[in-house]
Amino acid sequence: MSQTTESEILTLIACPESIDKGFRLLVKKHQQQLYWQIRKILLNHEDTDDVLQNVFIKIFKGLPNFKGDSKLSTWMFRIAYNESMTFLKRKSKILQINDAELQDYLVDQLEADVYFTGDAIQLELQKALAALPERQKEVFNMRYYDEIKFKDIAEILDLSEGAVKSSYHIAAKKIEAFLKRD
Amino acid sequence: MKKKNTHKDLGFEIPDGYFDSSMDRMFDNQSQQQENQELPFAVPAHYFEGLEDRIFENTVGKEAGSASKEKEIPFSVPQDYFMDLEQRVLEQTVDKPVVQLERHFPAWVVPMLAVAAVFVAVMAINGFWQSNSFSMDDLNSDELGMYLADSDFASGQDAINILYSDADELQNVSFNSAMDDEVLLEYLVDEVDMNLMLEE
Repeated sequence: MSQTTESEILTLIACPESIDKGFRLLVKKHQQQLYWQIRKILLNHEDTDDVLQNVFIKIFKGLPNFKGDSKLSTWMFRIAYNESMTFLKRKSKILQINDAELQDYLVDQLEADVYFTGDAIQLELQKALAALPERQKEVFNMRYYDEIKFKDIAEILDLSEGAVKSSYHIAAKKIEAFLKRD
Repeated sequence: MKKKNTHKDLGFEIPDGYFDSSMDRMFDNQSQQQENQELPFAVPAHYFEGLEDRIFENTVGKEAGSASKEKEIPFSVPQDYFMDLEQRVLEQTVDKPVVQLERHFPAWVVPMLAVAAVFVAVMAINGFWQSNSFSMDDLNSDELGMYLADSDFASGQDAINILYSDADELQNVSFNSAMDDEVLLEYLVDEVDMNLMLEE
């Protein structure tokens, strides 16, 4: 099957008769991209799976109201990011720990996670990422792993391009310092 | 303040605006000279492309191992997860059966009911069903007595205290519900005998 473009999907979802077809193509096209975006925030597969399904349900319900002011992928990224943040807040409440303690908890869980395939160095990098504020971590993940342009990151996170670049460089410095510590 | 065009000691004159524009003209000449001559330095082809990544690799990447290896996301998913995921998402969205609520009456009844509801609300607001004021004096004493006799209220020390609270003669009388069985039996036998005598 040929690769479906975003404009083709938008055309399909703009029409009530073909919205289902458009959504099917959208799921097929974006499921992995959204999965990995969420997974990098939540780290754990089961949590990611739960959140991803909620994200798609929200996307499905929100599609009739999607005005096209931003790119479809940007809009979905935002939903995924917000859902992930909401999930983390709920989890920290359930565990009765603060955000920083939750990040430590998530990284600690990685060591016993069968779906974590990294070595000791990659685990250290995850620990360094966990120590970052959420916004810096997200910017770093998008730029470093996904190689998204600063301009696009700015649009996704609703920040200025300058703020995104600044966040990225601060994050990189912090990670460097973390990895170089004794 | 405008500068004077004549030197106070030498008496020489200069053109109007000379000092205002002299610095600009000097810089213009300098930059024109720079444009005309190439810098004696060169960079490798495509040097600036990917410079940022190379800088990062030499800092964080150097510590964390080779950049390509490090950039791999160190997570995996269960086998066939994405094949299954697509199906599960669709089952919860586009393929989810729509539950129709069973309708027990024809569709035309709905607007009729709405009109009736408004009508009832207006009547209620206007006090159509407002009941007349109630007074204890309106109650028939026999009916009230019957009610009290049938209800639990008429039994027990508390009820007696309330009913006879204004009766002075009862102030020193204590009603004890613990009645002796023999006394009670004797009373009932006498009562039955009396009734039999009356019937005869």
